[in-house]
Parts: sequence; C-alpha cells; structure tokens
Amino acid sequence: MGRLFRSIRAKVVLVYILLLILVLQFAGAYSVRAIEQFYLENFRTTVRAQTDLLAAHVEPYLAAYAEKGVPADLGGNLPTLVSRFVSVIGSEVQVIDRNGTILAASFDTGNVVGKKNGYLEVYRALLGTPTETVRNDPGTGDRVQVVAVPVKRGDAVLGAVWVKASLEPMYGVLHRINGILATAGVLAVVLAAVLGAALSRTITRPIQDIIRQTDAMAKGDFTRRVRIYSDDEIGQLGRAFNHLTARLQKALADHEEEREKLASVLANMQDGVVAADSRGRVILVNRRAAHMLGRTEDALLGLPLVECLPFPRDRDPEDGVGAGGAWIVEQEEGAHRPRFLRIAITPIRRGTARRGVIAVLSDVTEQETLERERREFVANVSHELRTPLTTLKSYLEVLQEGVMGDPELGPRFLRVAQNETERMIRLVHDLLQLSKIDSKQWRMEKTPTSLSHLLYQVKEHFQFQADARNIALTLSLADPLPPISLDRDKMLQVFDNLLSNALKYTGPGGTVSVSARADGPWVTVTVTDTGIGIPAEDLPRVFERFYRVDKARSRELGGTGLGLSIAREIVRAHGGEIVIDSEVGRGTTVTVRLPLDEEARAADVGTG
Amino acid sequence: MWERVKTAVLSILVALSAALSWMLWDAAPETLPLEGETYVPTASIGEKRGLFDVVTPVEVVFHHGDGTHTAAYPGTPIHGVIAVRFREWTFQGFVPEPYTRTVWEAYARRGTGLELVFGGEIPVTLLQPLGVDREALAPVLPTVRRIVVYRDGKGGLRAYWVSDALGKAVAARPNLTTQALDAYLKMGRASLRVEAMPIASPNGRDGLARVLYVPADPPRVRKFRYEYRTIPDRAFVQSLFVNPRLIRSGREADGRMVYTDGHRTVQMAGKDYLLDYYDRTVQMTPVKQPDGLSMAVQFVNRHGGWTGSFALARLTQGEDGRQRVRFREYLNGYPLVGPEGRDVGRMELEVWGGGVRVYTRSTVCLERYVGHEATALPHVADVLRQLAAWHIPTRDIERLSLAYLCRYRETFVDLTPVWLLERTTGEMLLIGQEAETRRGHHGLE
Repeated sequence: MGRLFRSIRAKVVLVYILLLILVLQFAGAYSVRAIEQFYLENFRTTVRAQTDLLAAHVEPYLAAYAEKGVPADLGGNLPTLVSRFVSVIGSEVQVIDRNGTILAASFDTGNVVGKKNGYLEVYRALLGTPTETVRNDPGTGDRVQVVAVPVKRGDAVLGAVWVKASLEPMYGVLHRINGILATAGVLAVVLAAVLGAALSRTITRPIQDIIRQTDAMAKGDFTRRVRIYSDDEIGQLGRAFNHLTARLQKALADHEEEREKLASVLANMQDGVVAADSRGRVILVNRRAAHMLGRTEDALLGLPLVECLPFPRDRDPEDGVGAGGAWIVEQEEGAHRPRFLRIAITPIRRGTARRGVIAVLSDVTEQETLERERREFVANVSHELRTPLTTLKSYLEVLQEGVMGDPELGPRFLRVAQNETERMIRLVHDLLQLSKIDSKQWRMEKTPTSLSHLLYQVKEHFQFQADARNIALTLSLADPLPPISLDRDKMLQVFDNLLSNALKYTGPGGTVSVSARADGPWVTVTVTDTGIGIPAEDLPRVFERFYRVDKARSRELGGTGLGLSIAREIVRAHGGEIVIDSEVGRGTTVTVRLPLDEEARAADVGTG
Repeated sequence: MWERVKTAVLSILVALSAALSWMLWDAAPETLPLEGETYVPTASIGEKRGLFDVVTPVEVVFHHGDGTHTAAYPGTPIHGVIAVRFREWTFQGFVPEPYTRTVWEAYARRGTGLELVFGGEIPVTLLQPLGVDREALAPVLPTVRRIVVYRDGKGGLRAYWVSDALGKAVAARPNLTTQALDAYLKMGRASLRVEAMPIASPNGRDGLARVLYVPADPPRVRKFRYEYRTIPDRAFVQSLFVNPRLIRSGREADGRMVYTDGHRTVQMAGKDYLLDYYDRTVQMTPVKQPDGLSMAVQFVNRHGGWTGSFALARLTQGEDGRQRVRFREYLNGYPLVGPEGRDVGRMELEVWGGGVRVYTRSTVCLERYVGHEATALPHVADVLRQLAAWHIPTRDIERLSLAYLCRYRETFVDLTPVWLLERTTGEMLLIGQEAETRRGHHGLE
C-alpha cells in the first residue's frame, strides 16, 4: 500500500480526483447557490407580496383598533382571509397591533391571540422597517421564511403582519437537484480515477522500463535497451536514455581501456611514480618506483611520502615535498656501482587547494656516469695536452736561452720537442677519431680483406721492434682464413695498437704471439703476451678513454690512453667484440672476434 | 522524503476536498433558530375598562328642590348606579340655548334634577351611544363638560349640555322619565350634602352659569389605613414593551431603574412609586380631538389595565395637537392625592396622533383595609377664608372637594382626608389638618 501511494500513478490519480472534486465543488457550489438564490428569492418575493397585500387589507381595521380601541374585525374568517391573500401552503399568519400583541392568527393552536409576538422581525416591523429572515424552527427542524411588514397609515405604525412560511418544500426541490449533481459528481470522480489510472500507466510504464534499465546498468549490463512506446516526450525520454546508455557504455569501455593503459604504463614505465594525497600519504606507487625505493608497493602505500623518498642531506624533506622541485640522489647498492635517482615532485592543485603531490623517480645513473666520464675526459684531455705542452714550452725556452747552440743538448732538446709535438699530434688525431666515432661522422669503408695478409703485414711491421727488444713475435694462422669485409686501415690500426701494447709491456725474452682462427661465423684473432699483466680491478676499465693501468709508464712509453678505446670502437663498428684477459705477472691475452662475411668469403675462394 | 510529504499532502487535500464537498452538500444557510418562547403573555396589572367606565362624571349632583343639594362621587354606590344608568339615557332635539344663572336658579336651586359634571371637556362624538346625533350636535357643541336634567315644571324633563370651555350650552329632551329621576333623587338624598356656590362668569361668558358644589358641613371623616402593593417592574416591562426580550436595564445614580429597548424607555421612580414611560417611535402628529381619550383608555387597557376605580380628572388639548389625559383613582368617593405628586392611582397620558408618547402612572395599588380613625376637617367657610387669605379668587377654582392624602409607611399607606382645591390652571392645593397652611403644588400642569 505504501509503495502504491509513493508511485506516480497514485499521485496522478489523486491529482485527477482532486482537480475534479475542486471543479465540482466550485461549479456545484455556484450552481446550487444560484438555484437556491433563485428559488429563495422567488419564494421570498411571493411571500412578501402576499404579506404586503394582507397588510394593506388590514390597515383600516388596525387604524380603527388603534383609535377607537374596538376589537379588530379583520373582515371575516381569518383562514379565509389568509387563503385569499397568502397562498403559500402551510404559512402561519398573524396580525399584530402596535404593542406587539397578536390580534388574530391563522393557526391559534397555542392560544397566541392576546399574547405578544416576541420575534425580532415583529419588533423591527413595529418600528416601521419591513424585515425578512430565514430561521430554523427547532420544533419541526424546518427552515422558515419569517416576514414582518408594518401596517402604516401615513407615518404612523398601526401594527404589523407577520408571516412564517416553511421553506422545506423549496429545499426539497433543491435537495433533489443536489442529489442529481452529487450522483453525477461521484460518477465523474470514479470515471476520472479509472481514466487517470489508465493514463498514468502510459506514463509510468516507460518510466518503469527506464528504472529496470537503470538497475541493470548499475549491475554493469549495458546491453539492454528501453522500449519506445510512442513518439511523445516519454518516447523521447526513452530514446535519450538509450542514447545515454550507448554513450555511457562506450565511455566506460574507453575509460577502462585508458585505465588499463595507464596502469600498464605505470607498471612498465622506466620511471617510478609515487602519488600522495593532500596529507602527504602515499596513495599510488608503481612497480618501478617500489623497486627504486627498495620496498614493496604494499609497504609503501599509506606511508608518509617524506619517509619513502630519499632526500639530499642539504635538503629538508618537508620543504622538498611541499615546494616541489627536482633533485638527484645517489644510492649505494653494495658492491655495485652507485645508482643515481632523479626525483621530481609536482604538486597537484585544484584551484588554489592542494590536492596532493606526484613524485617521478628516474634512474639517471647512465646520464650521471656519462657526465662524470665527460668531465673526467675533459680533465684527461687537458692534462694530456698540458703535459707535452709544458715539456715543449720548457725545452723551447731552454733552447731560446741558448742551448740551441749546444751541439749535444740542442739536437737532443729539439728531438724531445719533436717527440712531444708528435705525441700531441697523435693525441689530437686519436681525439678527432674518437670524436668522429661519437658523432657518428665516422664512415667505415669495408672491403673484402684477407685477414691473414693483414696480420702478416702487422707482424712484419713490429718484427724489427720485437727483435730489437728480444721478444719473440709469432703469428699462428690455424686454417686458411676466409676473406672478411673490413675497413683495412682501421683494422690495421687496431692490430697495430694491440701489438704495440703487447710489445711495450713485455720484457725482453718474452713472447708475443698472434693467432687467428675461424670459429663458426666468427674469426677470432688472439694477441697474447707474457708481459706484466693487468690487475683484475683494472680490467673493466682498460677500454675507458685515458685510462692507464700504469699512467707514468704509459705516458713514458708514448701512449695516449686512447688506443684501446679506439680499438674497441673500431671492432664494434665491424660488428665484433674485443676482450682482454690478463693476469698480473703472467701476461695478457686480447681476443678480437669479427663476424665473417659470406659474400667476401665467396670472393676470396674465387681468387685463391 | 520530500516526495512522501507531497503524496501525503496530496492525500490530505483529496480528503479535505471530499470533506468540503460533503460540507457543501450538507451545508444549510446560516439561520437563526426561532425562539422557543416567542409568545409572551401580556402582563395583567389590573383589569380592562370600557371607555365610559373611566370617562365618568366626577360629580353627580342631586338637586332636591328644597334648596339642598347632595353629591355622589366616583367609587360610591350611588355614583356607580347613576354612571351605569347614564349610558342608557338618550337625548333628542338639541337646540342651542343659553344656560344662564337664571336658568340654573330656576331649575337647580328651586327645582329638582340631576347634574353630571365631567372631569374635562368630553367630545360629544364619544357620546354617540347616548343617542346623540353628532352630525347635528358637533358643529354646535363639540365638547360637553356637564349634563343637567331637570323637571321643566310642566311635568316633563329638560336637559342641558354645557361646555364650560366654549361657554355654550344646548337644550335637549332626555328619554328619562320623571319617575326615574325621582328614584335617582331619592337615592341621592343619602349622599354627601353640598353647597352650591355660583361663580361669577368670566368676561364675555355671561350666558353661562358656573356653580361650585362643595361639601357643606364640616364632615365627620375617617382617616384610613390600607396595606398597599407595589406592582413589580417586570409586569410593566412585559406590558409596555413590544419585545421584553430586547430590554436592557440600568440603575441611575438616584436609584431609579431604567428599562429601554432603544426606542421606548421606562423609568421607575422607586421611592415616589411612579412610572414614566416614553415612546419616541410615536409620530408627533396632532391627534383628533375625539380620538385622544379613547386612545388613552385603550392604551391603559393594552398595557396592564386599571388597578382601581378611576375617573377622568382632566383633559386638555395642546396647541401642538397633543392631548393630555389625567385619570384619578377614587376610594369611597374621595380622590387619592399625594404630596408633591406622589399620588396613589395617578395616571396621566400624552396622546399624539401616532399614539401615546408619554405615560405616567402610580406603581402601587391599595390592598387590604387595615383600620381607620375619626378625624375632622376644617369647615368649608374656613377653607374659603384660607383661600381668600391666599388671594385665590373663587373664579379661579375649578373644583373644591374632599380627598384622601396618601402617606406611605413601611407596609401600609395612611389616607388622610383633606380639602382638594383644583384651580382652573390645573394647580392643586391640599388643605387639611396635616396639609393645612402648606401649599402643595401638584405640578401636572
């Protein structure tokens, strides 16, 4: 029942009934009152006219009664007189003297003659004012019209005629009219209720469909559609709702896709992301960030952001989070090289209110390492250039001061100056070569080359030097090596560097052996010496630019510190690799692996 | 929540509309109920009287032919007989004829006859029952103050109708027989002996005889004591007001109760035992001369009635058309008077064309006789001397008679005999043992 009364249908029916009742009330009240007024006025006019007629008739008698005091002779039998003048059925008539005493009455059942009529109407009539009222007779329950008119002669009031006529016959007619109106009204209300219920169903049915559709949508079912019953506003509502459903379905799908993308991005991005709410508590953290911070995602969620992020020693964590900005911190990771994290914090604002912050953690170890290497490289270059220049300047000053003429020292000093100059030229040449390599301006001009011939040429180039230092230099070619596509000059530079280094750090009586062999798709060239060897801790860095295991000795021996770096870049440019294996005191083995080129090998077979 | 409220309000509105419809259906025009006791019986203070019960001679003088005269006054048996018989008399052959002192001397002093003296000038049209041809008489003699019937010396009877005010008289033939007249005279022999005192006629009225009949001997009179009853205010209110339910009352500073319905007022002078009624609804149009008296009598009849033996004492016509009618109560032939107007039985009305506008009357009536004691009054000669001493000429005397002076005690009233002098101006003087030398003024005129 309660649900029924909460429904629109009940409201529509109630409104229908209410409006109809109001209309019936106003129309009924107006019409009934108008009819009643008409009947009442008609009745009143009739009674008044007859009363006035009777008053005119009894005036001479009352005049005589007032003057002479003779008993009022009203001209015969009063009932006859009344029937002659007052034709209203059931009316009661009295003739009253000016003292209020009843002189004659049509019905004298109560022996009223001789008594005073105490009606207010009579009192007013005796004052000269005709009076008409509608009263209720408590004895019979009837409504009665009471009329009292003065009987005058000139201005003198002689008495009054009082008539009391029942209005019930008239109200009986009105009652029947009211009954007809009421019956029609009740039928109209019932009909309105039925029609209202039917009409409201046409309105509520599509709405109920929409409600069911809404429930289904709330449960995630966007496949259903509202049925369109008509092309009116309700039908338009249904169409709009269906359109809304489709748009919502698409929007939700897009949103889900975007959300998944975002989750995927967050999960897989190289940078770590940590979001905190307005209170600074972590509400989101991706896997990368957790890894960078060394904790699990669950452990980070809910923690204050200042407790999660590393801060430089010279920065206040609260200021760092509050004001935003970016900084780089160094993280020690045990035996591994330190890691550099760049942390950028951006406040999230909506209007002027701060809603939270987002911290983006980036691993900038590579950049930072490169930067450090760059700074070290510049320092090394400066240092490497300054040393020969200083030496050159010193010798030139000495020569300028007169040593030039010294036959022994002059040429010697000039030779030193020349060596330093050549050394700088080599250094600059190597730097230019590295620069070209770094800037990708370096072009390889590969041609099918016989590696055997190349190695032989190199051996021959250093044979004199090895002999001079009593070092056994051997070349061992296991198999006929296939031709390989090489930039001959650059590979020649590589092998010159390797043999030069082997000879430099191998003492007299030592051995430097060069071997080459085909190894599947590769060609492996090995340069092995029995020199002083390289400490294990220096091995990872021997390919770094300007890195010297023994800096003084290397510089003394004329090395630039760039040879191995250039050699590695050249080998890599050929798609190969270079590896150094060394043991202090027992020697060093450098292995160069170059990929075979099928096309070059085929050509080599044809010419051979 | 809001929706529930709206639905609830809607349901309430529907229910109210249905209730309102029922109220409209069941509504009847607002009507006042008829009063339960609408008819109020008229209060009966006294009894109703016919016109001639009160318009009766104040003096019936018997002329015995031997120079003696007796008189009967209202309230005495003989007066009652004559007053009743008088209504049966008829008169014919009215002929204007002077009623001179010579005529009076011939018929009244030396002859026998009856003389009826009224308290005022009675319109002759009222005497139509006496067989008066008013169409013929009214133009000649509109009013009559005294009617005298004499033996004419020829074995017949002769009558004179006299108007003192007009100074005219007409002669007529009564249907009264001499035997009847003799019988009346015989009855009247036992009445109070009076002396005839002819009075010089006013200038221009020499043809009209004026005679005062005053008690002759110093009467052996009695002082009476009666219980009296005060008529309740309610009785007057019920009788005087059209609708007693509409009356509002209040008490004035001097203790007098005032009742009014807004148009009529009744003022009860408690200690004076007087009622003053005033009806401002009465049209102040001139009243026809013949109608005033009957209107006054009917007014008293319709407003409580008469509480004793009353007789018309004075009837005057104002220049503005109103008439003043005064009735006086008689006890044993003595009019009741009171000091300073506090008369027992006084009744005076001011009649206009529209009705009685002012009505003044006593509110007490005598009840049981308690006792009496003998007393004496001054002789008439002494009274006349006293009047002379007061410089009151006899021609100014309207009537000189005996009266009872009323003195109210706690539960009774003492009626003391006094001389009552009524002057032509309407002034009344009381002369007696207790009232002697005190010049009371009645104040009605």
